[in-house]
Amino acid sequence: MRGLWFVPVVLFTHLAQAELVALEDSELSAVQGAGIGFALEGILFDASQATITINDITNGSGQNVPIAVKEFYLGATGSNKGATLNPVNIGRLSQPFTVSLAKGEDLRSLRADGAFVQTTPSNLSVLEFAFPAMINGAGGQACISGFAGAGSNCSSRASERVDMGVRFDFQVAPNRIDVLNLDVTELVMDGSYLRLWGDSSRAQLVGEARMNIFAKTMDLMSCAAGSANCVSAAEQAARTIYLTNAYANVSLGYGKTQPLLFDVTSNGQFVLELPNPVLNPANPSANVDTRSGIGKARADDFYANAPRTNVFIGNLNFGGTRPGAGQAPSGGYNFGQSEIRGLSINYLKVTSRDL
Amino acid sequence: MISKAWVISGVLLAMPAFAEMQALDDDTLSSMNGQGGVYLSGEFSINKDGGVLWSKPASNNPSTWTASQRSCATAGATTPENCGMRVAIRSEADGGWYVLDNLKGVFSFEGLTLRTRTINSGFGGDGAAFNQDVLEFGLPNEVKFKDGSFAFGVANQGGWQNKSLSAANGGNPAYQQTNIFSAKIDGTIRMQGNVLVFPQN
Amino acid sequence: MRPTLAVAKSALALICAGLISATAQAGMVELADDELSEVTGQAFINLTTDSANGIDFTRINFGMDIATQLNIKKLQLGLYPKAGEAANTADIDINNFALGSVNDATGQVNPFLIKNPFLELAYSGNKVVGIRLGFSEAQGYLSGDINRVTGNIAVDLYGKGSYLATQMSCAWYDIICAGAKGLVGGAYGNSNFSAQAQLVNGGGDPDPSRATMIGMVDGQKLSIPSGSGFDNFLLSLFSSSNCELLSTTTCFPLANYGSFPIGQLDANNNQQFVSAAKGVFLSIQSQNVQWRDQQDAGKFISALAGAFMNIPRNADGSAAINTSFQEAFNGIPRQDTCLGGADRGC
Repeated sequence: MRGLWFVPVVLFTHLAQAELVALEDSELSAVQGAGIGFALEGILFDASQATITINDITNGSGQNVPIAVKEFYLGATGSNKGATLNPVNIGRLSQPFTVSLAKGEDLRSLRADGAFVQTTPSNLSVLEFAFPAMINGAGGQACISGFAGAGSNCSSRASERVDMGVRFDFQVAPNRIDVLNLDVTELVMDGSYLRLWGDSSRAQLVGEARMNIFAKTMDLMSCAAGSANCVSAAEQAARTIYLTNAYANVSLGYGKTQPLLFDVTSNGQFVLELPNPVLNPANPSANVDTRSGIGKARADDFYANAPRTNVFIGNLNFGGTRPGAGQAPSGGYNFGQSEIRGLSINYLKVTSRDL
Repeated sequence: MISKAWVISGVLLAMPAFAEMQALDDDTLSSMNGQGGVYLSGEFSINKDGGVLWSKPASNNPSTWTASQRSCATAGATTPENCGMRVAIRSEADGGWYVLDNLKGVFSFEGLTLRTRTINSGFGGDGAAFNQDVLEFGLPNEVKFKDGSFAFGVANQGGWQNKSLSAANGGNPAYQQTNIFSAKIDGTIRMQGNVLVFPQN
Repeated sequence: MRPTLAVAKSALALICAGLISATAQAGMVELADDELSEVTGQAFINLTTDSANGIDFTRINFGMDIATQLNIKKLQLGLYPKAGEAANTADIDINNFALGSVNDATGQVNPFLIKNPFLELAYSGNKVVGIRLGFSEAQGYLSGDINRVTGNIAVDLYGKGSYLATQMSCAWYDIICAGAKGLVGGAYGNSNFSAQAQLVNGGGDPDPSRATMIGMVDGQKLSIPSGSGFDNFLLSLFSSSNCELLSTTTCFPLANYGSFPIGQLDANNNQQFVSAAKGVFLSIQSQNVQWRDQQDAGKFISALAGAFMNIPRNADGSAAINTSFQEAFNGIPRQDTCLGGADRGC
């Protein structure tokens, strides 16, 4: 019980003694604001004994198509598709998961060239849920081991990467079950976050989000191991789609001029919107000349600093076989490398509708 | 007989003498390390037999329900089901609602531990640099779900209203809810590990 | 597109109102399963299955209206060695890809509209042999610096005879050519000519794989849609061969085309679209797969192994992309897709 009191006392004395000094930008990027850090120690999840069914996806005649989620596992790398699960630490004590309330001007986001830039608006409080942060400089780890193209800004080391797997069974027709069996190795999601704040000119909750997924390998098998045509290693390999050295940096929203808006309309449909960054949010129908003045300043700032979306697949292969763990498969149909680089959205509005 | 009683009472009388309370001084007390902590097991059930708002109707046809009835069976099911808890949140003035609907089931766990811990070693070298106290939640070895379910969707009203009843009969034909997905969970999830919680400056 | 949506919504509202009033007046009637699905929680995703030519299909449909204006610096799908193709080329290789366009002076965007996208998997037994991302309707400008493209891209060329004649270059001794040029520029000078174009190689052969040119294939003829049988008989005497027709070049590098309008443009306003293209999809497959044509359930589109982009003809025979002969010869300038100074690369 004494331990609990110990921590806040230390904080208060520390604050009283430390003289206030303006932080440099590089130091500022490390400041997280007031918050709580989480690190997971020795984690292991195995839901193979539980049945999870996702409903509410209907077929063409309105009947429910249940999706059974089976064989979910999460453990340390080297689990051999969940066969030998060992516990893993996720999130480092120096770079943990965080939930924090910070000032908009204190938060930073990593830009493609390695600089940390401010993306959230100033003078308001932002609630942030973040995965372990990215690091620039000493201490940065290769985000995909043995592959330089994914960068070296991750903070999680090899011992903090996970193997994860899940199997979905879709009962699509009375006599047909589609199986999608996903196994991911060396998965890390450093640098992902969700930030939420209130926007007064739009009178609603808005946000910005980034999701980074780095995986050494992803195997998608379309049959259930042990079922018909899916017994021997050769049969299973022929029915597998392999991704090697794949990563995605999905960026939605640039808080200063293009926050992510998620609304529900009055007729019960959802709307996901990324507004035009050069327009005035208080009067979006007013024209703004982007060739000069404030319009050009907003456009230039958006293109220079807003995080972009990239999707990269180092090697995509249908039906081959991996010569060794983490290596690109041989045989099968080799689609080679594919990428979408530098996706920037000037405007997006997605509205759901009844089918 | 009498001698035994004497012996017993003699022993009883003697015991306090050996175990006399003495106040420990502060120095001695501060060097004691107690094993503080909590060990929790529990079972929660949410709307296992239905909730307070709606009673279970006789069929799954919404137009046959009365004003205070609702069945939360999946589309196309024949038998009606009790409904779980509903939470609706609106994040915009005059906007629609995010809904967590039909949240119900029995959830039980054993062995959730809670204690404080000083970390100044381990963690691949991070522990020594960290050198702080943390709150350690030890995850239970097993979490059991029985008939657990929930649905996430969006709606144009916070409370659920029956779209196929007229307003006079207690419904609201203008009510619209779009379910994004719903899930049912049953069985045991095995887990292990600790969640370490500490403040960030 | 929007009027159609409004009509559909009001039609749906009417149907629902009709259903509700019917039940109120006619006493309790059990709703049929498809009616029941309307009144319980409505979902925007559904899953349908299909089967054809020995392949099973599973399709996830998303009920969504999407309006977007975006830029991708580099879009490269399928960078792998392919028999018969140059080394280090990709199936689809487009730099500065963009959907939609912007107006720098007003800061407003002219978005690319997509309706009801879907994701479909093709199975041979229980092996996935293809994946396609399709759009039930698509409308707007698609821009890019196209290096290579693989697929089926249908283009309709149109234009007046007077312009076509200026592009015909005849050798001094070629009497037939001179005669044809005179006719096209003279008697037929005011007629609307039309031709169908597709992905080709420099020799006029169709080249659906890693093509760098678009044009008329060998044997393709011009036509006058509003012309008489005699007009079209005359034209049928001349067909494109080796990328030439009546001494006019008929194949053009894709790099000349900065932007393609997908859907039907308003003839008087090249920023306004009047109808959408149906059947646009992007797919990858490990073998040749016959995907069902969304516009005609009896037809299939044969997609080659690899990455494949399909911008097909509409059900009425018109192509998704309509350009004039002038644009074909001169290239189509790229639409401005970046706010501020540049028109691309932002």
